[in-house]
Amino acid sequence: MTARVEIRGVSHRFGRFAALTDINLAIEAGRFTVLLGPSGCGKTTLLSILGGFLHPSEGRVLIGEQDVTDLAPAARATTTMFQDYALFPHMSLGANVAFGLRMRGWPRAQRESRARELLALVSLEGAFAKRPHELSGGQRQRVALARALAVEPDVLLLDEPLGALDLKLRRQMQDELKTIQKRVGTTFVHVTHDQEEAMAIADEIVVMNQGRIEDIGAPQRVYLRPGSLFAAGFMGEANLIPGRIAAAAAGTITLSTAFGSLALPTSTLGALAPTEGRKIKLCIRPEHLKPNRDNSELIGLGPARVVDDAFFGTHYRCHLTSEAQPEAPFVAYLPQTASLTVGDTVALCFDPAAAVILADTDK
Amino acid sequence: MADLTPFEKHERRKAWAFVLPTIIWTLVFFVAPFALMLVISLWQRIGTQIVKTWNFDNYVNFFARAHVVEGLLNSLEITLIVTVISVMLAYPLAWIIAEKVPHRWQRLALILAILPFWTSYVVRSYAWLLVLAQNGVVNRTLMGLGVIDEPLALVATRSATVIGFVHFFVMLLTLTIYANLSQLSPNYRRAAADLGANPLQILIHVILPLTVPGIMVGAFLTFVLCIGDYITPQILGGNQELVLPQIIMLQIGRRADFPTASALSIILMLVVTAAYLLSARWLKLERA
Amino acid sequence: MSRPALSTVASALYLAALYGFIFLPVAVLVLFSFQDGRFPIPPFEGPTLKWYAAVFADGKLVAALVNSLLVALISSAAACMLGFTAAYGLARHKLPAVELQRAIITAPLTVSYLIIGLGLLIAFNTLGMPRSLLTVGIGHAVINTPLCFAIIYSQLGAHQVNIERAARDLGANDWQVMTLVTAPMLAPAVLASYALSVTFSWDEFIIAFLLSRFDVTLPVEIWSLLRSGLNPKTNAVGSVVFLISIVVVLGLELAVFARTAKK
Repeated sequence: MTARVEIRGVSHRFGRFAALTDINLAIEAGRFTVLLGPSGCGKTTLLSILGGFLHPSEGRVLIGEQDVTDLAPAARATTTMFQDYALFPHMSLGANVAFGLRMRGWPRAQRESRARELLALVSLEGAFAKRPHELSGGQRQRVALARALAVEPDVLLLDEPLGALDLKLRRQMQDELKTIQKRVGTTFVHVTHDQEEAMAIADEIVVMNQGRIEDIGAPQRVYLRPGSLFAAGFMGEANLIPGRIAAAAAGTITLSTAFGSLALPTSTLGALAPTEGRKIKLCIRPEHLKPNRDNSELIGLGPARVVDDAFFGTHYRCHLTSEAQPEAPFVAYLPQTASLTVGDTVALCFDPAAAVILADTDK
Repeated sequence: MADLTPFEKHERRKAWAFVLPTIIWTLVFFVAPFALMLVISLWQRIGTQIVKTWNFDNYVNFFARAHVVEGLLNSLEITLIVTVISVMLAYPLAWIIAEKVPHRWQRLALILAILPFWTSYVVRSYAWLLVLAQNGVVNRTLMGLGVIDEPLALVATRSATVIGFVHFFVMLLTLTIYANLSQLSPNYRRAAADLGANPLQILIHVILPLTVPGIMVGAFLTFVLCIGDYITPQILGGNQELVLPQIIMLQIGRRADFPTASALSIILMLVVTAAYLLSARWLKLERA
Repeated sequence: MSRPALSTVASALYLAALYGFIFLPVAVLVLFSFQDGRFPIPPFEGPTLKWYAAVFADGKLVAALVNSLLVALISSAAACMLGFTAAYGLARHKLPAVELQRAIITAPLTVSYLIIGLGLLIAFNTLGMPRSLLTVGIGHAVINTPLCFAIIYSQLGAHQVNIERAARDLGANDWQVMTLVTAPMLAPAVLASYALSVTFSWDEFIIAFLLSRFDVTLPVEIWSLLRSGLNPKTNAVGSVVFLISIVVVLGLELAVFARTAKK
């Protein structure tokens, strides 16, 4: 079962501390939405409010068309998967998964058979009689998922469930979560601070910072065309060139920067208003920097010296100091074939279509 | 085992130097006296001498002397009653402090609940003597309220002993059960609530099973301390129904009959060991 | 929202009832220590401090109090030392038969004090050693050493091994590691076990009763007071002991535990 989630004007304070400020969010039914942000950004608070474990200081929460703000967790059509799984250690896996059904008064035979179905869904068929302490972390998590799905919630809330797993297991679980979500069709709301994880599984990413929403969109959009400086920096590494809007004419924006005048297509503005004189930062992702101008589309940034490089398997991560802006070295991802050594000077360029102009909100 | 390097040998000698004093101390002042007690229990006191008769008479006679067997039975009965009542009273108290009292006040609430722990044990039993005396608080209050006409003979009864014990062990059990309760991850309760359990169901299906270790540890401690206690029965219980520790002390005090006293003590120890073996299963705290 | 209110009311009532039960004897004890009359039973007449004066004027009581303190402080120090050295030796170095050694050291915890006292009484009798505060002290050290050992041993965790190794690596010798690194790290555990031992020794009756003769500890002296029946003087002594214990416990709570909680 699945439902649409609407969060209207939700704010929440812990004493004097404002954990959330005026959150407005609509999540379509059946979507896999990820709340992404650093610790303290309010994502877990928002999840707790969705689950009914916190009552918001202001605002309403709607699931389906129903206002659930005042309903207890048991009464809502949500289930939460906790970070420490919270499997009942004194019960078998089957009893754990069947717990919610037992609370709903299902007879034993029916709830056991449903529990077995769900354990099979999470690839743990045959483990019905085992106890949680006999399982590994990844397996426990699957049981927690099965237990949460057993009661057919409209919305499944996941509180950083993959944090305790190692990389390989995490990747595997990300794939599995995605597959299962598609299969059952329930709306998933998943909290994490790992942007790679968010991009791997989300239909939609909600980037949060200090209690507010910074950006909302599909992973590609939020990564390639971030809506704010914070989102840009959080989604991945970014080179930020300060400057001002010099002119805005048909199809082209001209920026004045330390590298001179740069002419960029208007698509790089996004939703920003092209006010002349406005302070901006030009965001260029490391993979969009090139060491030479082998393409006339590229815009040059002048000479830059390679300061260090490190091999990351899929690419080289290099720091380059440019002559025009020596105090802020560039981070570039160069292909495996790039044969550069420390000390080399290159003609640094970037692909203008891939760059993004962002409002300069830094003080 | 491979030969140790000189460094390792040196380290090992140091380690022995640390450990041996305590081991020797324990052997001299605990194991040896205990062994001596075992030996003496096989001898007998005849006249004013202790004769090395080397037989099990003391043990066999245990079953022959009705009042001694009764003493053991009294001990067991009282201990079991006390344990059950104390658990039943302490669990809700621990639960209320852990769940209902606001977090800021929990530590204070707990300290208050065990504060009388810190009166001297002898004094505490004496205080119950005061409360339960013929002209004491309880009788005066009941008569004043018109509930009874004549004062109840509360002291020098088994009930007085039980009350005195329960008073002490409720505090002990509240501690162990609270410790268990407060260690439980709050997510267990949240997950259960999330899945539709009401507070009563959460208590029955989740909290009670997970606090069994705390209960068992406390109950075992209660059993061991209660069955071996001399003070409370002596002050509150009177001379009609003696418990085993009182009988042992009689052998020592009045008659200096160490052989019999030793034999009875060994029997008491065996009872405690039996209790331990029976409850060992729960005392291995499973890490949830 | 009547359901939560009902359980809260019921909880409050239960709490009140049980606190009442728990404090009843202590309240009666303290109240009637101020009784201006011969018997510490209702009705309450007074208040007067004459019984407290009588306590401090009673040479035997004061001597017993001093004895209790001496025995508690000294025997606990011994128990702490024995417990600490054993715990350190067993936790830090791989000795053979660790389990057996641990079992021996902690064995006294499993035996009733009456039996330990009786065993020591027989032993001292056989050796011809007279009963005295020394024998009481030995008895108390026997019961408290396993406690100190268990508490300190549980604190000598694996993570501390690395800290000590780091100190050794940086050039500290054994004595320096012990005094500059290990002892400070273990200070809370050592303090806690010392405090606990003092508490147990201070209040302990049966071993003190069996193993003392002329010089007695406070619980034993109070016991003889009980022979004279219900007496406000006993109330006064009990209240004094209670007060001292509370002050010590609260002091410890503020000094040691509150500080560690803040970390």
